[in-house]
Amino acid sequence: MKPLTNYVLFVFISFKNCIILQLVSLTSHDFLCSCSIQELILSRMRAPRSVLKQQFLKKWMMGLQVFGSAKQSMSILERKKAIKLSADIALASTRAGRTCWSRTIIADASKDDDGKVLVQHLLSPESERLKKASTGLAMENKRVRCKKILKRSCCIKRVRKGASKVVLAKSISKRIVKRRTQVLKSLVPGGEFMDDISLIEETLDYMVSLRAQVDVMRRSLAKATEVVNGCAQYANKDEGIEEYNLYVREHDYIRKLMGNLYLIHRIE
Amino acid sequence: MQPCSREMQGINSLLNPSSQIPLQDLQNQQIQNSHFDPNSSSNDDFLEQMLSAIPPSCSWPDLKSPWDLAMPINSNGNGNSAAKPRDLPDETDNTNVGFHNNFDESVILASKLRQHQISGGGNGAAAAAAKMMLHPQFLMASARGGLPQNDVIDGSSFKGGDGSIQELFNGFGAGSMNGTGQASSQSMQHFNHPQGGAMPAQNFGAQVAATTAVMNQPQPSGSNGGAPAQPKQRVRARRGQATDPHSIAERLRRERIAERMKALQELVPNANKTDKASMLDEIIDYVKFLQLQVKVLSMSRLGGGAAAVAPLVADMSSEAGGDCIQAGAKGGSLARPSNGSQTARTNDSSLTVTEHQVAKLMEEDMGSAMQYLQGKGLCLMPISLATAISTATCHSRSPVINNNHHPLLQPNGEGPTSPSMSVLTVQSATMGNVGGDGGAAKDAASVSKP
Repeated sequence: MKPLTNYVLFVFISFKNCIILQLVSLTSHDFLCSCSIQELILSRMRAPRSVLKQQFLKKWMMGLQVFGSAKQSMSILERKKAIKLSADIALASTRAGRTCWSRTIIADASKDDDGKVLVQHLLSPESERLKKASTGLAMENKRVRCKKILKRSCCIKRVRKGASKVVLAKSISKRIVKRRTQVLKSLVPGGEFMDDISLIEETLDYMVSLRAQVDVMRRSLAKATEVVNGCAQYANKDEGIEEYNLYVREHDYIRKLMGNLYLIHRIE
Repeated sequence: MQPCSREMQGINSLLNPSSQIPLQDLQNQQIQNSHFDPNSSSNDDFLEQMLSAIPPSCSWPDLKSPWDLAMPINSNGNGNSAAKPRDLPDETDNTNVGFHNNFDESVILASKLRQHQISGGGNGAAAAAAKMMLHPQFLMASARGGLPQNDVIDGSSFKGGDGSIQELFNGFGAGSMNGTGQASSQSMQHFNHPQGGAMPAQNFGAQVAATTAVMNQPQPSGSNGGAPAQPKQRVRARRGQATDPHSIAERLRRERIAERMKALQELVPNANKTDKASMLDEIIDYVKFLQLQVKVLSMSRLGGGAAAVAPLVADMSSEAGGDCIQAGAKGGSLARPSNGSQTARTNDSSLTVTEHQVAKLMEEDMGSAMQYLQGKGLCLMPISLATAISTATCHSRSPVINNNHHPLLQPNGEGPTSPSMSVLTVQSATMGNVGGDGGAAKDAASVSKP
């Protein structure tokens, strides 16, 4: 047993002038920690959090706990998928079925076993309505698709008279817009079955939620690193130093990758 | 989308031949409102007048118009912007009075969207702002009873407007001015005064649905040669008359899309474009970026070092698909920041050696290749990422990263030895460290810090 894995620590946290004694069991993979890490992270967060973010964090932690016992045996890929899946479902559940994309995510997740368990776990209070909604989604989508096919077959194409420059430019731009709308539809979950207006609304909502998700995940990553780094001080330094270095390195790597992503976005 | 469908129902009812009625109401209210101006200066009088002006059985879209028309009058009556805080309770009352049951859903949705937008802005005041946004919902809920609202709540909740909310609303207000409704444009102008940001945000939420109706109404008025018709509108109307419902519906649809694009513009950074196509482009890029961020963040806490990273990133880049080009990796400069300006490459021969070495290693085992590179202080990344970063650091960051400018030029200068290879030095601007260099290999990409 490596020292940094399977750590049992007493961590003293001060939160609003109270001192909370927490028993934290840390593995080297922080996101799949025990439930107390959630309070830990929440308590360490000084910045004011919106309702959405707090809800998301709570649900995400709940979802991660579902994987609780299996975390040791999971490979890296599985772990990443577990984290991402629970994060996505938690995000979708914050919207509680009011938006199409959240319904789509939940419906898709319910298709396989892992997702089903998570969905049931995270959405148990409101699950009835949501389950109905997600099952109804498939039918709804089929219906929409059929309608669109019908519409396209029935619509009469206008004859293009001698193309003036303006008209030509307009048609080109229309084509571009259509193509990009298609791309957007592929990006937003459940977007293929919506018309333009609701697509944009969905995108709006989806973007806001994604932003919140990224923010929460990044902050909890930072906090968890902090915690582990702090805990590592209590560790047996002789044995744990290698892993600890790797650990720090990975976190830095992720941080840099995030920074570079940001750079790219700034270009475009 | 239930709120949308309800809006559509309301508007469809408007589009029916019975559109004469709302038009007349509009005109009536216009006439009545013109009387308001000299008379009403106090809040209560105004409220009473508004209450009397609205026919009790008026349908939802009609109720919007007196509210919208009343706005400029309200503001005019109270004059300067210093009086704005006093206006707010007025407008709230009108809001309460003006709202109808059908309206709730869409406005609640819109206001919640705004709320989450605001919270998504991550401001310090975001939580407070979110609470402010919640209040309109309560207001609207109690408006069903038709009671004039508790000014106390409103007064307290509209203090300390958030800057982002104002911008949000201003942007949206400017966007809504594209509509043909003169009244709505007037009201928007008044709302653009940066005062009590949350209040405009609330009205904004209402106006999301309201402007659609308001904008709709002047169109039938235009097509019928109604009161505000100018010669230009009349010409447009004649053409529109031929295919009346279609053109109106299309115009409406276009305007709604424009509204929402404006709202999106607030969210997406770098969005100073007004063109639909380029806005869509920005939106797509941003969504992709956010999704990528989520993916990256979810692969944290990797145990076992670089070897474990490889399958993870291979998975990621295989999902990313076409972006990554198959290429051999080429060694890059080690480029420690402490070297300062001296970032000249080691001689090429050693680089090619490294490159071959890495290529060989990659064939057998990704993990060992990664470790080898890591030992040299290099990293792998998808070509698209690498080129993007290089261009960014070349163009935009060059004043900041002077000393490291050199190696960036070099890879571009020397060019790929084979079409599939590229070299890049990646720098993390925040850290000032050189993270490594780039190259994509067999659709696996990873970055490790030296």
